[in-house]
Amino acid sequence: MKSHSNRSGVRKVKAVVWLHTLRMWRYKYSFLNMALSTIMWIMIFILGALMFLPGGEVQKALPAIFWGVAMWNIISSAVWLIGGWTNFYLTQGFFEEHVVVNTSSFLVLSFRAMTGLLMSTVAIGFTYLVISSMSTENILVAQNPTFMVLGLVLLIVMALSYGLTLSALSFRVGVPHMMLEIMNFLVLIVGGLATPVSKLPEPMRYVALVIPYSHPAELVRYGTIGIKPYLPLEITITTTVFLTLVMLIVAVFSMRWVERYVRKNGLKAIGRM
Amino acid sequence: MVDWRDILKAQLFSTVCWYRNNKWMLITTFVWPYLMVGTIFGIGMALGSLEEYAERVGVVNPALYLLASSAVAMSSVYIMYSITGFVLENRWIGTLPYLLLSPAKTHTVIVFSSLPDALTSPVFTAIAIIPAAVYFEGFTGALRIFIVLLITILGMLPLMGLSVIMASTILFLKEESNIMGSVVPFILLVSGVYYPIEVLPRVLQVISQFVPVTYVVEATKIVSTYLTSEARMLMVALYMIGLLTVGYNLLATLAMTKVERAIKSKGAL
Amino acid sequence: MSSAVQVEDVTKNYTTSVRKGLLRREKRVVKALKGVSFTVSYGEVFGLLGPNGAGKTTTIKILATLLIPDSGKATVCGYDVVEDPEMVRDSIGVTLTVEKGFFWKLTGRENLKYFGMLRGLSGKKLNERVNDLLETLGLNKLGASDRFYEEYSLGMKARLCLARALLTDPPILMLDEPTLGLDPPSAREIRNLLVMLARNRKAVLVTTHNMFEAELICDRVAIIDEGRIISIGPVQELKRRVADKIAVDILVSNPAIGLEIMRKRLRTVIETVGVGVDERGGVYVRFTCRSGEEDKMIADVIKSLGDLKVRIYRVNVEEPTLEDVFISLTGKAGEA
Repeated sequence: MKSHSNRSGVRKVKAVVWLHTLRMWRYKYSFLNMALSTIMWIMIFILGALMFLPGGEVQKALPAIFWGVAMWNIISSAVWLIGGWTNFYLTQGFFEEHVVVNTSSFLVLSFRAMTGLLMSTVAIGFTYLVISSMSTENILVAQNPTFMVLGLVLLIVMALSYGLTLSALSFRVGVPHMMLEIMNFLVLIVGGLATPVSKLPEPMRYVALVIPYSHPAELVRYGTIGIKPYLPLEITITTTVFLTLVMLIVAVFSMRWVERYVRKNGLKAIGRM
Repeated sequence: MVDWRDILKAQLFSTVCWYRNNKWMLITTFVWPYLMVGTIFGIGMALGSLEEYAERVGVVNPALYLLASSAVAMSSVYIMYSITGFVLENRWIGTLPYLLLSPAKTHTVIVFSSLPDALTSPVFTAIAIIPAAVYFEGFTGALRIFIVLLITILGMLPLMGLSVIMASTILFLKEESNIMGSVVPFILLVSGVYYPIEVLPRVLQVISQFVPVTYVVEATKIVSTYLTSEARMLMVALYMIGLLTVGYNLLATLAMTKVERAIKSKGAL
Repeated sequence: MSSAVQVEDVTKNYTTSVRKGLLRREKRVVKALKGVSFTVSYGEVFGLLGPNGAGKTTTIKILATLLIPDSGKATVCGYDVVEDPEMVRDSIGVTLTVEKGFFWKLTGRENLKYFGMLRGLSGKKLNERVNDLLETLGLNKLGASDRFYEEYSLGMKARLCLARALLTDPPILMLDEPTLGLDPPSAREIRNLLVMLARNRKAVLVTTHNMFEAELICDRVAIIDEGRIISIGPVQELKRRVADKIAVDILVSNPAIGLEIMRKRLRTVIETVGVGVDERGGVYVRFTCRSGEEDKMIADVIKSLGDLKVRIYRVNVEEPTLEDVFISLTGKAGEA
């Protein structure tokens, strides 16, 4: 029985991967466009922010800016491509259609991460092209690759967990797009992504430390350009791992809870029946 | 016979209804310029100082300039989205054929149907930033914002032509949102809303000469500096806006006539 | 042999909240099902009939394991819908709505393959099954199999929906309004297919508010109204229940006072009178009465209509149809 259910689980994963790959191909221009436009928007702000620096210091800041934009892009893609897609998924009646074929909707939504990560990779590639054309030195440095990889992996898991939690929430309540947009902006400024936590002004520094993303971002910066985290390294690693686990657990529990809730009460109560 | 005034009146009514029923969106319109400035200010201050910004961009009051240029950026985006988005949205919900059935020229229908929506953004954002302008510079600040608003509305004219060209392309394509998604930020990127265009690669600097927003931004910058010697430059910017208005609108009329004929024979509406 | 579907005294309430002022919200309980019981056997087409909001879709959703009932018991293919939802889902094919539930930029074939894979089909078997269904449902003939779903007409969408429900050749089919919005030839094809499936020993449960359709294809029907089953049995038997009755159909002018008030006033004369608007926009008054009583009843109704300043165009007296059974039981005009 167990091996049968394992086999069927693998088949479902294969089907979902096939679906997302096929959709990615069919929407290739949209994805390319989304990656391009996201980067152009962010560059408008970054170029403006660079004007706050004396001309001679711009070159020094470019690697940190590149990694900041790259990390923000990973978070933003996860939010839009998982959390944002849920609305389309629900309005098109896919929740019900997957339940009746014994498939959890969160399996389908989790594998949207494939699309998100691919899009982030493309967008980060564009960012690299733009920022490296402004830089006189190589911006892709990795002074300590272990910390860079650890930071990036944990950041990705955090972002996916957040995307899935948002997705679960939108099964019950409407998550306004504008709200997500504002949250994205806030994370970029005070979330310790665009600039190292140590460089933020005093009150903002504490806000950044409360935002989970600042900790893996500090690890990534340490691994790449060698800027030491604001908190001691050991504490930064422990906090990052702990917060990643918490976000993952919250995502899993909220998905389970929502699936149970929807079976009991229907999708967004009677209005959606 | 229906003329542009009827279309304008009908759309004005629909815009008022929309804002009345979506008060949250109305509030967002007022908050958005501050949010844009907050973002750039937040990142910028973590990197350097406001004095440096004033010196490198060449403005006297950087905070007011950032607010005014955010208003220009937001309005330009809104104008482009209103006109091209008008075609896209009506095509999606299936009302485009009915709108084009209106007994007026397609170009007129598209421009005047989206005009009220396009006009509300510059006006609302100007109103939104007036308190900040008064706080910084008193009555003069408010007057400057009013002049920026007038220039933005003037800058709308060539932008309308450009947007109609984009709208005609949209009518012809399948994955419509692609054009708008990339073209709008591209136009803002090359127009140097928050930075001098000299920081851009050479090729983008050349393209920026053909983008109307560049001149609106330039004029905004001149208005927020206090140098009378710059008045001549303001005239150049206005002259360029006029030139682009004629050029883009001529091209737009031509493009729309051709596209309309093509899609009607193709049955792509 | 056990029933394919067994529903015993199932209830379901929804709790919704309504905004009252800026911050206050008031909770409201909507009783969707108030103790529904019925069975469906293999080899029959069973119709669940009722007006909008009667509880048809809630019933289907409970049977398809999409909703958990508050009380009562429901089994499908012998499995409990609450205890064994996975086994239930393995035994059923479901269509919930014909207009949604497929990926736009996938072709009909690709959509079927995807849902087939989720159902455990793979390789040659999956391809063969998908090909068979595209052929059977006429999508190959329409040249739609390899077109993107976004290019489908409503008829094609309905066919694809049914094809998905049939992917694993399940013994039980649950179809919510399977012919809604279809053109007459497409609707006829779908109806024929459902009858054929029942002949092949499948249990077919359809919900509809189309009385004409129910009369054509259903072996048995249950009439559901306001969350209760008010009558159940073979179509002929239900018609016999009102066989001693005469159906009266009066075509009238549009009342200035509105249909609702006219309905209320007429109910003071006949309790189960139906008032509605037909396909051509004509207003009609329908009721059934015992044979022999029709003259008096018609006179009473005509007098009431006269009092309401409603003009009478035509009076029709005939044998009852399923729609008349429905009106006689619910007092609501059908929406055929």
